[in-house]
Amino acid sequence: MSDTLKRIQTMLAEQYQLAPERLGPDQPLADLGIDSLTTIEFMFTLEDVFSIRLSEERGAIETVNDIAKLVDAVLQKKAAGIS
Amino acid sequence: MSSSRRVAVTGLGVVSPVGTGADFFFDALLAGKSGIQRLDSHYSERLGVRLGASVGKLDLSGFPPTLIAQTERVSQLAILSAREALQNAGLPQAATPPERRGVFVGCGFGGAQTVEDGYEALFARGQDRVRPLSVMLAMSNAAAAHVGMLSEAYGPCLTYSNACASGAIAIGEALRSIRTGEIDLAVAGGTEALLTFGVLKSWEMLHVLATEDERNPAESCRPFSADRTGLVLGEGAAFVVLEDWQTAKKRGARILVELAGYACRNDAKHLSRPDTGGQVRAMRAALADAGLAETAIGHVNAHGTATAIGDQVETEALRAVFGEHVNRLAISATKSMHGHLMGAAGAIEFVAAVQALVRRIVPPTMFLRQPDPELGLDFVANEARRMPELRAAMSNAFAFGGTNAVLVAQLDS
Repeated sequence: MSDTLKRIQTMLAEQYQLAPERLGPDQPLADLGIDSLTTIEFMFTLEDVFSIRLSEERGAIETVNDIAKLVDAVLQKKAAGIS
Repeated sequence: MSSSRRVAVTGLGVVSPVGTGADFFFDALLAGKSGIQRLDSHYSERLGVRLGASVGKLDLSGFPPTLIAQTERVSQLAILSAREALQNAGLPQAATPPERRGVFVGCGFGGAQTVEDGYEALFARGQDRVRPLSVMLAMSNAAAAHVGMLSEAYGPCLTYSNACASGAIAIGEALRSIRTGEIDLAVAGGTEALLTFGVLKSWEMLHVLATEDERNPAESCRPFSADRTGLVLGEGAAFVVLEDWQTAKKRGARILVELAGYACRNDAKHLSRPDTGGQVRAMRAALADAGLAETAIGHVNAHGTATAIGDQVETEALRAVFGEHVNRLAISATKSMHGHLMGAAGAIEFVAAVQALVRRIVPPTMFLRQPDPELGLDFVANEARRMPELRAAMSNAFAFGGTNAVLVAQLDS
């Protein structure tokens, strides 16, 4: 399990006052009551925390792990670009 | 207004600097508890006047994630107090279909923190983006929209923004909507969350804010006292549930009081200086609307901001309206404790007036150390007072801009 996923799970738990045990990787966001508007807001805060921009290449975001995979992909790209 | 439908107040909800819950709120007022304090935040060092009446951290445990993400503090305060009001009324939605429900909200500004955060990101930090939901968080009707969803109201869902009279106007316009037969149930009140750096600084520049009391910051707002120095900004929300009288009776609701009268009258004089004439017109029209003689009123929750001129003008207006009877009025200025809630002020003070009627005890004007000889009325100084004969009360809300709103409530007779 990536550090990214853990950080995202912690952020979701804190921001939306959700029990951590509900935040498994395959948990659909919709079932947590996180709708599209809320996802957009959450991605915005992720950009600050990870110092990245997600806006361009955003695929379908349906589960907690979808967010982590997206962030990891952008982080890798960023690292490759810098090195 | 014997020809139109009567309106019952059946539920109350409050989130305030002196307590959350309509009963806790009123108990705190009776005990003379002040919610005014020295603000402690990252910007407070840069404020000339550091006073505020804050609600503190909100308990959002009942909020789903979307609601937390999609609400500014101003809306969260509204949802919490409207939810309490509906519960307090015994969930009146069961008896009235959504088409017959309306929402009426007073709000002076909207999501001020969102606006300031956006400006800080753009102008101060040089960023090229703001929060994606900034528009929806900041818009002034967001709180009403959320209360509309909470109460599932398909009727009118309206926001009134008339500075410090907003909350009273919202309740008064809800009364009218029920009277005309447009709806049978209204969730009405006010909400405001303006303890932000930019707003506090703007008020500071107007020189109407109280200076901090040397001995105790909590005692800085002293309406009707000779040593008064001004108002203290506060935040919070208050809502009432209003129902058509017959609808409320039919469902077996507990009727707290009748909302008997309302009027809104304008000064048409000056942006900030209050005018006796406008206030007199509003009070007289509200009494006429209620079908009550001035001698029927036993208690007034005054606008009482503790500015030198504001308290003087209101006292003059009260004398003009009530004549000899003015000396028999118990006049309370509860802003001494909960501060000035701006767009929510008229709503929270109406709730205090309703509570005073129901319990037949009026809250004090706190920290009235030196009665101002120029004013000379009975301001219920520093101690709550039992009034077993109390039948009717008036609540005043006078706004910058010159809008004066007055509500009159009475016990069922």
